[in-house]
Amino acid sequence: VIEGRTTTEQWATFSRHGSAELVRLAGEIDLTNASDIGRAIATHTTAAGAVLIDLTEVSFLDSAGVRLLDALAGDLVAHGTPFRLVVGERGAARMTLQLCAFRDELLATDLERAAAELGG
Amino acid sequence: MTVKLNHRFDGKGPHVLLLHAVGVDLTFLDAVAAKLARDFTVLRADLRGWLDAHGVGPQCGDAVLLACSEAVANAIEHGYRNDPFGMIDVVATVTADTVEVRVTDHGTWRDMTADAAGGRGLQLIRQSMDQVTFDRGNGTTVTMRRRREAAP
Repeated sequence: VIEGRTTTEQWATFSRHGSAELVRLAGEIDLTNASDIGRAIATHTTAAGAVLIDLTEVSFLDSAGVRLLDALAGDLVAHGTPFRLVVGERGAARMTLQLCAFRDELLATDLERAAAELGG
Repeated sequence: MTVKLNHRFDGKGPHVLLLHAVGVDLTFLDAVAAKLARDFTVLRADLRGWLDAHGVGPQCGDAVLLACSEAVANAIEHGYRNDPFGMIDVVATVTADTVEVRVTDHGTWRDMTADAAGGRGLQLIRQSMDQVTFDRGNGTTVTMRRRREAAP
């Protein structure tokens, strides 16, 4: 007999913050969902004037998640779209990004300050 | 036998099943592991709980979870790139001062130096753990250790 309990999590939600597109990521981002999340973000950010990616509720981030953020950052830079990643000062997402030497100048710890930096 | 599972279905991709039990010989799970692995995906949630239960701090715990996930991802992408039903064994041990995780697959790696994220997965394993060794025999075993105290 196998009993189970399923938790379905929402990883990405989209809204506006001033003039910026706000992407809130949550839960565990890894090999199994990173490409789906990347596609969802891309469709919401291609036409955006500025982009805020809030990772403060991300409880796990692996190398596939970093690859997704790398690709996203590359696309946004190529389009000339200003953007910031908001990451808590501690926690799993910050640890992974630091271990990968992710570009520090793109990281912020406070959403409002990051939005202000983007002119939003 | 009744097996109670806390499980989650996240995204797509290969199924990962993590089984653990406290204070018993894990071989008692062998009979159900193959059957469960066909239908269930369990990644990290139980390992996190198990580390917490052993009093492993969040900093060390996060590092171990990351390394373990990367090792499992490597086993899936390299060891079982042609075998969606391959089994991966994850054995974790906590002592007074160390956490050790061993991840074993029974497939064949094409290239030990590359991985799915252009080497980043292996880089993350090496950076988040104190000691990492690879053994290749019938498959590949990566053994990773980290001190329970502060980050390196």
